[in-house]
Amino acid sequence: MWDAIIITPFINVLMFIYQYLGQNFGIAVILFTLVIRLITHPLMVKQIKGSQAMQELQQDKRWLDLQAKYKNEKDKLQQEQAKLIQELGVNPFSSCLPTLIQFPIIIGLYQAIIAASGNGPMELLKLTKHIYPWLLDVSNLIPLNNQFLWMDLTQPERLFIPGLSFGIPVLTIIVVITSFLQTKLSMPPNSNSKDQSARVNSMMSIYMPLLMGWISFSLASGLALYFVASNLIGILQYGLIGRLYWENIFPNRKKPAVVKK
Amino acid sequence: MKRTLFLALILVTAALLLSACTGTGVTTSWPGLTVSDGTAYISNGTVVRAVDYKNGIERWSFPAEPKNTQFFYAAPAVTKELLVVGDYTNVLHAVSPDTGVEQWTFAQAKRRWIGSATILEDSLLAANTDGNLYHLDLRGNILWTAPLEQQVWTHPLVHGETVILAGLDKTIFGLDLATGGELWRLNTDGAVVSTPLMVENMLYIGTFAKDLEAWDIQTGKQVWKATLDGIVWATPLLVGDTLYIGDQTGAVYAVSAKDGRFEKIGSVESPIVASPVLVNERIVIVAENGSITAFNANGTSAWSTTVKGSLYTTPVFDGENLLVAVKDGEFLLVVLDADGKVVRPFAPAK
Repeated sequence: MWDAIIITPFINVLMFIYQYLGQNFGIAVILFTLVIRLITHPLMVKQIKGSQAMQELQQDKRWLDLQAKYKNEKDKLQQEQAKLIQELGVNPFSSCLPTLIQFPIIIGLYQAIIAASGNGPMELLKLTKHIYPWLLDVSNLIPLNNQFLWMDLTQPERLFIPGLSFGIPVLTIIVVITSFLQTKLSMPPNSNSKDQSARVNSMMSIYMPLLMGWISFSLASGLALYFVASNLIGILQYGLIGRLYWENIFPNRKKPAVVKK
Repeated sequence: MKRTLFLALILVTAALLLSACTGTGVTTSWPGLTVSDGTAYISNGTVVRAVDYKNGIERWSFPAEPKNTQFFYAAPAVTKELLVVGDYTNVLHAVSPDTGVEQWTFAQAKRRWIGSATILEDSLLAANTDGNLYHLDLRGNILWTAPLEQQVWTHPLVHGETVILAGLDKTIFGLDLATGGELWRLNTDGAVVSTPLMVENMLYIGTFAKDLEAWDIQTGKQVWKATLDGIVWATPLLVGDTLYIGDQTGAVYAVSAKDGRFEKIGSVESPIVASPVLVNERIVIVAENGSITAFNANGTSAWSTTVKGSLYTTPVFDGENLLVAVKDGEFLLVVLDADGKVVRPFAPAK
């Protein structure tokens, strides 16, 4: 079921892009990422609205009053907060659900990248079985061009410089930086530093990039390339809808003056 | 605090899920099989085994202490003095075929070894997926390296003073055995993952373009091309003037070696990746579904049997026994008689 719904369609889309746009696997991964981000754009907008609604709720007088009233009764507090959430029609999961939905996409994409790499006889046999014969001709696909810049996309990336005995995980570093930037720039600033959600968001802005970095360091660089492309496109998307919070990166940055006509 | 812990749990679960579901950590392919003097040498997973198949006894396994990151799937190349096998950590090992003790290693290749080596009188040839053909002496020292700029999954053929090698990128190379210099090349219509069949000056090649192609290496011209139903993975078998081959749709063909005219003589309903083998004038085909089918030369079925597991490795017939290596089966090696009856299965000790 997983193969039929996720892996096989992903592989065919990847291979379709590969065959008709550049015959390069790295370019195919980047363009595929763009397609995925465009398709999930409505989810992303919903996520932003959900986050904003949660944040406004947490600044609401009624919410703050509940926290003060039941500060020593955790269970009662949660009960009353849940009532208020329901009363106001806020969905507490709408801020994180889109992120969670991305996980099967990431897993599916990674499996598609490994399957599509055709890195050995068994992988190649499996790949040929995934290809829709009415869409693609295998003879035009094999062998796949897995080289992108200095990287073999089927292997973990390392840049070897003469004189150094070890490879530098350049792409991993880029993944960590772009993940951090995307997380920070997309997070609405919270002036209440004691707010638990602010603390959680702060933790996420460190743990998520590290998690992505660890994955990029360990696994095939095709996935790391997806992360970089996804992060950069994500930052662009947030920028286009006016939701980039540069003050999270540059706290002393002056907001542009609003000129009144 | 609870929410923090919950989020941390989500992240750890996500990391584990990603690692588990991405299929990394375990590399797999089908076994490599070579038979010599009553011993079957099988590369499978983390070990190479020498099995006395007449008695069903494992003589040795290499390495003595397997590592779970080192995989062997290339069929070993064997002579009386030397067994050479490459692994997926880019190392070529030379081992005593009698004891399994390592003699030397060659670790200068940059990628995994998929094809087998070819051992000559005083040297050996081995092509790596890093795009190089390495010519080594029998102590593992480089004599020359020929850059081919494409992956090679096949073993080299030697025809006189010419090394013939099929590359993955639709190219057959003819190289000078003395220097490694390129003498000629042929461009096929599809990727080639099996060693061509060489008969006098003719090369017969199966490709991913669903073709069986015939080339005359003296003129450098394609003589004919037979387009079949499915991808051709394997080396064809020549019996008299007829080539026999299976394709990935499971169809089995008899193809005229003279002009490429072909007819479908049967189907095993499952992908065929291995080459056919001749067993007492019958053509034996093994397939992914575990079926072993013998065809008479006129195309009628002689016998058929099935083993548990998948069959991708070309079987070997020693004149009396048919040896079949199995992937993911109850047994690693199954020995049959010439009529398809299982004589002796072998499973490694756990």
